[in-house]
Amino acid sequence: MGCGMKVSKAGYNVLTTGNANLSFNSDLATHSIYSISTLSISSGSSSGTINHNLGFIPKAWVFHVDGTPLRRIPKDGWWDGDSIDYYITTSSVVVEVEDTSHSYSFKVVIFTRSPNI
Amino acid sequence: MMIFYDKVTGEIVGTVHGRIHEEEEKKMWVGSKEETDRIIYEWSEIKGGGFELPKETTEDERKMLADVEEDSLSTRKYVIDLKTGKPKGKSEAMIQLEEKIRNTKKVITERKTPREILNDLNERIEKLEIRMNKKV
Repeated sequence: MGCGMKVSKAGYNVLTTGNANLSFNSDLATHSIYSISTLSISSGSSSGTINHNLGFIPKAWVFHVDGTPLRRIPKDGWWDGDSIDYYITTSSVVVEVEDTSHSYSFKVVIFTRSPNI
Repeated sequence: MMIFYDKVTGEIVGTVHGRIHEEEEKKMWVGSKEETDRIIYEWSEIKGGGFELPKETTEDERKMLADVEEDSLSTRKYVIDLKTGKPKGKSEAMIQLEEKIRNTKKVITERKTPREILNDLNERIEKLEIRMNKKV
C-alpha cells in the first residue's frame, strides 16, 4: 500500500477536496502558494494592481483568462499591438496591457518564496 | 473568498480565493483603497466535519461564491449593489452585450502570425517567379 501526505487549505476537507484546494500533496511537485487571486482590467484602463503587502518580492505567475486554455503572460503581441506584461514589487503585482479597447481577466498566483532564493 | 469591487460602478475588479483568510492574507487588496471596496466571505468549521458560510449569507451570495470557485470568469456575471453591498446577477442582455464586444475584439486580434505572413509571402513570390519564367 502506498503512503503520502496531503495538507488542505483552511476551510477544505483534506480527505475529499481536489488538488486545487491543497497546500501540499506529496504525490505532486508542490510549490508553496501564498494566494490565488483574480484581477479584472476594465476597458479604458491600462493596468490593474493586486497589493500583496508581503514586504519582499515574491515569485508570481499571471495568466490571461479568456476561456481555455489559460495563457501565461508576458504575452508579446508586437504584430497586433496587444502586448500584456506584469511586474512585481515588494508590495504589489501590477499587470499592464497595451490595448485598452476591451476588458481583461487575469488569474494571479503568488508564491510564498522570492525568486531570489 | 474576498471580493473587490469598484466603489462607483459595483463592477467586480478582483478576488482572492480561499474559504478562511488569515490576518496576513487580509492585507491583500485589489486596486487602490480609494477606488475599490471589499467583501470578505469566511467559512467556519462545523462539528462533525465540513465547513459552512454564515447563516445570513443570501442565496445570491452563495450562488456567486460557488460560481467563482468553479470558474474565475464568473465574476463577469455579477455586480455589487452599492446600496445593499450584496451581489446581484447582471441582466442576460448585459452579459450578451459584453460577450459580443469581447468576441468582436477576438476576431480583430485573431490576425495572422509572423510565420503565417511569411508563408503567404513565400507563396506569392513562388507564383510571381512562375509567371516571370513563363514570360521569359
